[in-house]
Amino acid sequence: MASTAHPMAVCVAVIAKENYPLFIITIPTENELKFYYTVHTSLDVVEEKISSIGKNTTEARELYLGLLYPTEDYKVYGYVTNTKVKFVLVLESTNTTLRDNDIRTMFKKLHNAYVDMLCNPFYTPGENITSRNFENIVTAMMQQD
Amino acid sequence: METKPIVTCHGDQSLFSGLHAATLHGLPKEACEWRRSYGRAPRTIHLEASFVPYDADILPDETTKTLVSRPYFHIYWTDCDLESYKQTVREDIAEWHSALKEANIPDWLIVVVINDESKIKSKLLPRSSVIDKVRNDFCSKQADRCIVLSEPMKTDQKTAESWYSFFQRLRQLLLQAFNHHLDKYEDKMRSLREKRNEPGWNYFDYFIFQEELAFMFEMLGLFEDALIQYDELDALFTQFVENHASGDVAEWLTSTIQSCKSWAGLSLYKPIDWLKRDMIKLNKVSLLEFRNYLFSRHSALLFLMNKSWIVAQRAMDFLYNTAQEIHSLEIDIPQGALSCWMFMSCLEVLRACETLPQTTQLDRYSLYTATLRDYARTKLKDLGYLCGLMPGSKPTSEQLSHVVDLSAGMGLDTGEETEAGQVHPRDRLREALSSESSFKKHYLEMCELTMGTYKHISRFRSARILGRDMADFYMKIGEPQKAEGFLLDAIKMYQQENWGNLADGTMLDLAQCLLSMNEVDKYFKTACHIACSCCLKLNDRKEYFKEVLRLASENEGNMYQMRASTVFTLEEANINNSSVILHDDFIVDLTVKSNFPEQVVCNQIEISIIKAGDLGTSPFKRRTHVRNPSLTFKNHEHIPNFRPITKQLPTHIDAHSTYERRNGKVVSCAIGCANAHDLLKRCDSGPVESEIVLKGDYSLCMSVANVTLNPGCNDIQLRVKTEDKGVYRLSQICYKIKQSEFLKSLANCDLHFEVVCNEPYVELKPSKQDNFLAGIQQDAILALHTGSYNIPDGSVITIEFNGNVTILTESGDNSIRIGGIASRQTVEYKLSLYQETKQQVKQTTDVKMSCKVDCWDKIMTCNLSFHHPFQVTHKLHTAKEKKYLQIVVCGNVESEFYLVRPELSCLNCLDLELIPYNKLTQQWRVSFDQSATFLWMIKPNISDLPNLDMCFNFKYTSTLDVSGEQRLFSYICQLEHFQTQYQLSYTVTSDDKTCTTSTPATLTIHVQKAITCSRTDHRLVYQVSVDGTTWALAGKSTGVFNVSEREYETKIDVLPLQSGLLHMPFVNIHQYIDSTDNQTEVWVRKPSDSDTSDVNKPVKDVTRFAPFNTGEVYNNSQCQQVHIYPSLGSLDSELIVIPL
Amino acid sequence: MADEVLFDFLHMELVSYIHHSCVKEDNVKDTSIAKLESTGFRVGQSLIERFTKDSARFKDELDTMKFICKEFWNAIYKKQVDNLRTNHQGVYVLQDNKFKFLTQISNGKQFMESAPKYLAFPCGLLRGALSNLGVNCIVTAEVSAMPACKFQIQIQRS
Repeated sequence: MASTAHPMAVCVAVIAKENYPLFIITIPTENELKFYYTVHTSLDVVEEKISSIGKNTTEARELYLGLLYPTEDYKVYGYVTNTKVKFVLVLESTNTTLRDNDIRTMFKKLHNAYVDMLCNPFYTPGENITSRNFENIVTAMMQQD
Repeated sequence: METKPIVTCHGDQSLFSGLHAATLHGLPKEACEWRRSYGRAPRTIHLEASFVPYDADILPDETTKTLVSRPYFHIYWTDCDLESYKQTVREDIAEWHSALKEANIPDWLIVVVINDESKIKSKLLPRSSVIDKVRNDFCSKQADRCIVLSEPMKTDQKTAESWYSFFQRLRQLLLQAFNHHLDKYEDKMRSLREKRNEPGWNYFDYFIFQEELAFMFEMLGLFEDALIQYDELDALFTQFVENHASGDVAEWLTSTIQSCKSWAGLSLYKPIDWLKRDMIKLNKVSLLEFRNYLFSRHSALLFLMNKSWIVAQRAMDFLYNTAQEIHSLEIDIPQGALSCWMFMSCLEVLRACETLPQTTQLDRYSLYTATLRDYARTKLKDLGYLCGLMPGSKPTSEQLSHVVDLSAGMGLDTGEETEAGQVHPRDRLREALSSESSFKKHYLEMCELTMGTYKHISRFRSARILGRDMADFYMKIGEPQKAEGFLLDAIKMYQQENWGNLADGTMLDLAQCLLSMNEVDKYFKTACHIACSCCLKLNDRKEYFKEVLRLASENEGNMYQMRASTVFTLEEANINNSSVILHDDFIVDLTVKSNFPEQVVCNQIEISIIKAGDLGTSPFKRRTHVRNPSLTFKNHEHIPNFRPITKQLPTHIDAHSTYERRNGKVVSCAIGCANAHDLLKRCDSGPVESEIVLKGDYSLCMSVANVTLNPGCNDIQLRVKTEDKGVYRLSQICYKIKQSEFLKSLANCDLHFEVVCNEPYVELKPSKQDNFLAGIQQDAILALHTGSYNIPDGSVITIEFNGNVTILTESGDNSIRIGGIASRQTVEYKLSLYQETKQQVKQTTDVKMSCKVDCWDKIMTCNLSFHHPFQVTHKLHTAKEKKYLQIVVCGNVESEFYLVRPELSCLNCLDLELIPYNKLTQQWRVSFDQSATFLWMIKPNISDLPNLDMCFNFKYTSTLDVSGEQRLFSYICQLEHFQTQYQLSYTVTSDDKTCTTSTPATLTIHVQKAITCSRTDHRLVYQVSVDGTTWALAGKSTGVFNVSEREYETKIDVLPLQSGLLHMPFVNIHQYIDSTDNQTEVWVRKPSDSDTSDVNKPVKDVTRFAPFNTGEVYNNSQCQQVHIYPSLGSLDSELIVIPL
Repeated sequence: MADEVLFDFLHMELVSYIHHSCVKEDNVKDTSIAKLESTGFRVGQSLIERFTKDSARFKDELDTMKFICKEFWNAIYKKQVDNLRTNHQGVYVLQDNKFKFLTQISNGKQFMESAPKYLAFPCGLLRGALSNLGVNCIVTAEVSAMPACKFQIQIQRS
């Protein structure tokens, strides 16, 4: 029986184009670092997917990368913007209510929030994201049921 | 699947056996298109069949469920002639045909083989052939059910054509047969499926049913279609499981989800596991087993399609989903059994993929096999933990029995499951779980393999995480050396990619590893890193901070040395005074940021100073250094195959505008970037700073001891006393905490300072006035600046002047006894100076003073200037023969001097009287703006006075004079040749009473010898000089005459040119010089007839003359004027008409 | 209509302001061009993020350049780049025959001395946009006859 109080995502990460983290937020757990490791490792898959898309031109060239790789407990989804900023969502495996389209929507929301934040003149591209607005949007995404 | 669709053959068996081979091989030679119903895409298919003899018993009926093993088609072969046809064959065919009809089989074909065309052709009458007969008898409605095969044994064109059309027909009819059956089957299947939600429906029955279809497709070689069937079955099952898990119970599922007793892994060795299938039929299969079977069928088909990588790709999903299902269905399964199953299945997939021939998709393999291996590895690890096989833990008896239980459920070894030489996954797992050592061996093997695969596919991040796991394991088995390498790799990569949290998290593990290896030095460095990391928890940091302190104090006789950049950062260094006087303190203000979590006491902070070379004339640019974070040390070692994204170009570039001009006008302009080339260069890894940092030369250093540094920024000041001149720069800073030193090079901070040595010097200034004055004694102050030197006590300064100056110091002479003076002091001494006044031409006299301190070699000099207070001049005045001497005393300075008792005396002659015209008893005041004038008459007692030496002196005082004395001032002058020799007078007269212009007048010159004349030679020259515009001279302008008698007179005609009061032409007399005398030339006027032209033309002439001394000629008529009237009707007058 | 000139005016004021403030500060070097360029850089980074939000992923460098020439240029200057040339070795030249900021200045060589000021911001805009797309480059501009101008992009080789 699936519990109804699952957060939508357990970890959301925004990675800069040089592959360092701009923003990572996780649900509070004991070992938050494990999410960091998961996200970092998923960059391998992200890079693979991006480079393979270039070779295979018949595939749909959309920004959403889909499920990057599953682990036993989590499913990791990826999304890369044209500016090579990567968004990574980690969901619990037991969360079966989310369809692919829902995840796409979540990424779109994330992307929009990021673009808005980038247009803030007090933010220098490449810095860690500290905007509270952005953080609120992401936390809402994580807790919404 | 080796089986082929069955086609029965009846009729002439011998005939057929002859044609069997040809038919068998010829059928699949060409592909035909099979169009299916329901708009499915047509498939290209090579039909094959196996031909078996006809047997009425094996005719399938309606109820037969199998698709594969049923005979689909029936052919009747005959090559009879008409005769035998009528007799035997027809009946045979009829029997066969009716049997088929009874069984409702419409799929048959009669083949009439004609072996010899010639036989038929030779007949004259076109009788009906066998084929016509057959057609009439049996195929009246379907003409395509019989066909002629002519001369099949021959190999000519006609035969080939005949074979071709035969095969075409056969294929077509076969497809029809398939369609017919398959459509029916599919309909059945569909209707069966529709009933799935009805009670009593059994999925497995349906499964078997649909699988048959899949078999059929497989048999036909349509693997994709077969796969689709299995996919559909998979989806259906999954849906049922989901529904069941959420409460919608399906009856048939209950037996499947009973407690799991067997968790044997996947088996991909055999394409179809018939045993399993039977179990499925009987609904006696567990979830795992069913899933195994389904996946194995999938895989089998994929292998046939040569897409084995998809097997690897799907394997992970398969494993996860099954695990998910088991979990959601809450199937009772012993702990660890699932892990066993997963492990074995992974290995099975890997094994199966590897046994297949290597294709070009090797890369795609690696992508998926890597994850499979990794997964198997993690499962093995889980099992290891579960069964107590991990190093460092001894398995309890419970665990041991658990292993036995697990082993039991792994399935039986049937011996058919692997190829020779390969180890079955089950055996491998059993072996791994048998003992700690074998577990270790297997586990490490798996790790290495996985790591290799990851690196091969360039998934470095995954490789690094695996490395961390392995490091953990190595630590457990007590081989920390191996762990160290993995951890360092991981840390490097995280640092390169700027994931600080992960890098520092891994450092915690590294610290433990180094500690167990007893690598104290490295451990110390790591502990420092951790203590200063901003990404870790405070508790961890504090713990390691304690470690740092502990190590630092325990390190006996040794010094830990490491870079300061992580622990202490120099935020700012400020030099306020970069030019320091020798022996002064040089101060530098530092702002140091401590990254330690708590307060720390630095035993010493030192900065080493190195004497730099001469900087030349460039001034010190940097007095402040502010830390630039990007310059801090970072290890950018190159990892092969791992290319982190290159650093971007800086956000701000040096853009500037450029103009191209031609003829002064701008023709084009551009924006360029000056250092574009440098920026765009490939930024390969430049020279890497070495990790090792050495302590520099601290022989010359500045330090401060026992500084408490709080976390965050601290302000510290260091100072050092300068001992030596020169230019220095700060080289390295060292923070010392007990037995550890943190070093940072300051080379790039570019901080210099200069130590200058100030030379001592003296200054002398008048105390009360602005300038020194000659002639009075004044107070002065001697200021001695010691500069950078000390003067010991009891030294003596001796002062000397190069001019005529007397100096009076406190000690009464020209030396001063001074006490000890430190450097950079200024001490003043009083003294008084006096310089004698003399008559000078200049107003000031420059004097150089030199002071010598007896303990030094140096002589300090100072330039002074004395201003003279008076300027005295004399002047001789004459009135006819009387002489007067005038003396003027001018003041030179603002200060006032008072003159008394002026005296004039003649030094060399007493035959005269000097009669003063001033009141001699008064006091004259002389200053800058006031002068005093004195006049004496010289009254000679004899007629001929010699040259006189006059001496004028007076006494003066001044308020500025310290001594208050009256001082004497003398002025000496000479009077030479001053007595009047001649008197000169001249007038201009005219015959008329008045002179008018343009009327000639007469200039009368009268020269008279004076009484005091002492000359012997009375030859004189007169000279008349006129201004050409006022007078015209008609006559000689010069003339020689002699005044031996008392007088001489001469007249010259002159012509006044202008009217009014005019000065008379200037007449002067001079001495006559013989031309033979060696005298200098004088300008003379040409003694020719006067004309207005060339009057002033200097000409060398015979007539030479020398001027008289002042006073020797008295000109009575000097400056006299004469009134010239304008002539009437003169052309000279101007008429100015003023219009009214 | 009127919205088209909003950016023109804002840009003009920006150029004028930076020019004057730079003249006051540094009498050593004229840093106004560099300041304008880096302002444009920052704006370009943000703009490109917004513009590419909904578009498909770029295949390769050429695809990226085409996007710049068409959509990006269109969105900012309301027209497309007239000519794109490349030597396939990392140098691209974008030619705009009627560059928006120069059309109102002159139609030939008059006021050529002032032209670079108005090109600094567009250069930076281009560089910022490209850099955020992962193309490290230097952008320079050249004008020989207004209002046509050429932007040259030199991409860092890797």
